[in-house]
Amino acid sequence: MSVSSLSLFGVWRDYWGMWSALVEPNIAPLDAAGCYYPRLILLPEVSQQTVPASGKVEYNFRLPAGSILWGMFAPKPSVDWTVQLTDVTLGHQFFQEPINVSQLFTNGPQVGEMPAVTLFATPHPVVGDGLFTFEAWAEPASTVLMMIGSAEVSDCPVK
Amino acid sequence: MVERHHDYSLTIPVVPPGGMFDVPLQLDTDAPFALRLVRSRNLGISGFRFQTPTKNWQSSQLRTDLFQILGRGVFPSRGLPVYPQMVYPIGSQIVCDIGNGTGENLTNVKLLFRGSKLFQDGSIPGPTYPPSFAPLTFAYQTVVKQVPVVGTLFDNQLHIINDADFAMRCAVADAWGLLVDGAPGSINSILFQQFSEVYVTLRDESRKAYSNEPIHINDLFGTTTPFSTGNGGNDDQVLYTPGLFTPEIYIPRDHSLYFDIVRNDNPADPSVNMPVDLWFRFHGSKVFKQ
Repeated sequence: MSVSSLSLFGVWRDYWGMWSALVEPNIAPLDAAGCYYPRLILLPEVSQQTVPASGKVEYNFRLPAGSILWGMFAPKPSVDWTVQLTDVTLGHQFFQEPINVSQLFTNGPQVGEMPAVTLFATPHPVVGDGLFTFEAWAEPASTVLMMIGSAEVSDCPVK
Repeated sequence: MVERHHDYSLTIPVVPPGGMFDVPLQLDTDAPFALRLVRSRNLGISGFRFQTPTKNWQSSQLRTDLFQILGRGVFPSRGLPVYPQMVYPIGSQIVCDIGNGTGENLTNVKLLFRGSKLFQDGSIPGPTYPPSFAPLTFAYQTVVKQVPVVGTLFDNQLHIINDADFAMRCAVADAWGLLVDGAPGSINSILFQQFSEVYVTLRDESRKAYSNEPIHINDLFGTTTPFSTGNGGNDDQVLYTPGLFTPEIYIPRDHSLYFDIVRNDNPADPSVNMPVDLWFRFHGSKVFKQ
């Protein structure tokens, strides 16, 4: 079984019943792959993180085709908000219905604090145009943000 | 072999001071059971112990499933891992000792034994991955509205839409509100939906259960705060941890998973005496056949 550097995380114990520790072996081979380098994608960009009066933020972004998305970092909100992530190229929404961000984070060094990566059940391939949409619903004037962890494709080898 | 997630729960309505000894949990006669985790509820530091398949005690004295963080206190864990697994024969018993050092009766004490039933190939439907497939991360949602303070709601349904199979690996459930355009929620608007004694039985499409009795919602679906549910004390403070299904539950496309909800809260307790909307999210992978 492969093991990635994520398992060096201080509170990472696969026998504690933690989600990310359970699925981490699925993405571990990315650590040793020579054709990717790590990138965190901030959603949305800083200028759009404050929720307008409509209560909704919609943000489109593009990622290099060939990259692999492996997880998300959702900071603990003081007021819960709702999110949907869509791979436009594949026509795939990650959640059947928009989901409370509070259901997307797992343990960090302090419970519920950043960094607390929540790994995807399956590494997600970026294909075609690599176009994604991030949608968030929250109280006006509040702040919404999350990060996506990406293994971004590069010219091999990078090491 | 077909592995199937299964929970055995031993419920003791009243544990008197001094505890109870040699309490048997009868296992089913359809398959052996591979035990991988033990968790207590409403027992605290009084502790328990159980017998292995060879009828030896797993620990020489009573033990707990709590853990301590220096300077912060004692907290419930997700349970005691049992590794390597212990395989109990068909129709056997798990014999338990349950302690009570409090000097008062402990009520509604539960020991949860989590693992897998081990079926022979062909003895039970065992849908699994096609020879060639493409998986994508996905989360299904089922909302069960107006769960009464006392009552049972049968046959709530998670239906897998017909574009792909679904490998369910974890799930969360709570009384969440949903923020929508023009109608934002807040902590205060959500907090009034409280519950404590809610239990769930998962069933496959033939209604065969994944447990011998309803399992507390926080043991089955984890507890996702910051909006903690119920007033169950420390037992409910397992934070940010969805309920895992190991092995995963594989549901073919256009098929369903069913679940019964039993709620038995105290109508006289103002913190839990209202109907709640329960939001279930089932996380895993869509499996597209290629």
